[in-house]
Amino acid sequence: MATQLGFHVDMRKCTGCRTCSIACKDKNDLAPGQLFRRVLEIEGGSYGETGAGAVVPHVFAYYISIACNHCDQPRCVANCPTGALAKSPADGVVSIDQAVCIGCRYCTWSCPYGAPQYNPAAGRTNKCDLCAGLRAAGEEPACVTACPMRAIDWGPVSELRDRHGGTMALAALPDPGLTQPNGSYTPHRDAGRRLRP
Amino acid sequence: MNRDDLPLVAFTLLVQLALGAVALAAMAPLRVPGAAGLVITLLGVAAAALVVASACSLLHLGVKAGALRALRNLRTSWLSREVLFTGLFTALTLAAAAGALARLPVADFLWLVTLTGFAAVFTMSRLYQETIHPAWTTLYTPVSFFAAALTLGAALGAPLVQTSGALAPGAAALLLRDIVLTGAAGVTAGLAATAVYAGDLQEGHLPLAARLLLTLGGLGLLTAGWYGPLPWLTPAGSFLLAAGELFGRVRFFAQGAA
Repeated sequence: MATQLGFHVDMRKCTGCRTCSIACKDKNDLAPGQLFRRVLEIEGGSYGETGAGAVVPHVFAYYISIACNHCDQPRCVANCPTGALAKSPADGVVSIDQAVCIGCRYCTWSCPYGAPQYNPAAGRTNKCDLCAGLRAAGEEPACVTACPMRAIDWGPVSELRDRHGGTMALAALPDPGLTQPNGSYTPHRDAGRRLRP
Repeated sequence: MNRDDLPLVAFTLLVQLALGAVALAAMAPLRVPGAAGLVITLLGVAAAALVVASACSLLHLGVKAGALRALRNLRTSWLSREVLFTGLFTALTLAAAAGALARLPVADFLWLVTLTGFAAVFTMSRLYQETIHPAWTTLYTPVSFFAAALTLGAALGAPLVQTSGALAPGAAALLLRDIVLTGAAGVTAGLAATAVYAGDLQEGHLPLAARLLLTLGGLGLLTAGWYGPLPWLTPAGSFLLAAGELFGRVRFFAQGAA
């Protein structure tokens, strides 16, 4: 593969405003209920007693803006019965050929990140292709452009890692060993904490 | 449970029923003479079940006209393999039913049909195991699917044997005993897997109790029908066994929901 593309999200900057989701929805003209980029609100923690009759909260919350991670071992591609899902040998982007998809929804059962989204009106599944059309026109993906905090970056994964570092091993996300995702996050300070004590 | 999954509840149960029926049709003539009529009925029910199952699987698709494209990725997709083997199983069962109806010798051919049905149910269970839903990825899936084939085959076969006039009373009793024992094996495997599965999911006791009540009640009535003189015991037992499998399958899909 020439260059693997992906996203990077700086969770320290994300305020959970969901502008990225709306920009993606607008650009891709998505149906109600369909979101190629979602913002998850993660909450966790516990309460402790001071010993003097008071209760002190040890809680936390943070946001994870997530789209397709264009994995190295995409289960959606392996499981798709029609071959509609494919990983580009040129840039590693995983996309769905709408003319071939039959709407069996097996990809939605296969992706640990919930990237493929079924559209009942179209009878087909679709997903983030890293805004292929915009990229071809020399522009950035819609979510990157729209983020008011500049929390989302994109580009060749090797460059993103040099620029930001980052990890996919967050307590609220699936084990990256499952599909070897190509996204990465600069973690929020609480992103390593267990959601329940 | 997602309403979109209802066709899959019907599809999986009907294919498993068909496997149980075809296996019984293959074995019955080896055990007792005069089972030709029973074989025709079993194959007829299996063929009808598979035709309805195929329609149900189409209902699940967003683009029904593209169904044949599901065969394109046999190299890595268990769904493609399931479509292939279920299609083969359906075609061979229809051929066997037509052959049996025409009084052709289908005994040996039925073992090939049973093997294809086994492959269909195996690929079906692998399909669910290869997802990211924890409730589907365990050994519970293949065990419960094959157990359902045994249970549903027995639930279908017992009343058919009981009402078959072509079988001698001694032969019917022998075959009924075999069927009840097969059903008991299916129920035991299915419930053992269910208990482990329910424990892993830490779900409440009520669904498990309901499943136990339906399935053990059904097996009890089926056994009583084999021993007892009351003719309604066997169909009542079959009904409860089928209801238990339906209940279990609905829970299976509900627990796999994203």
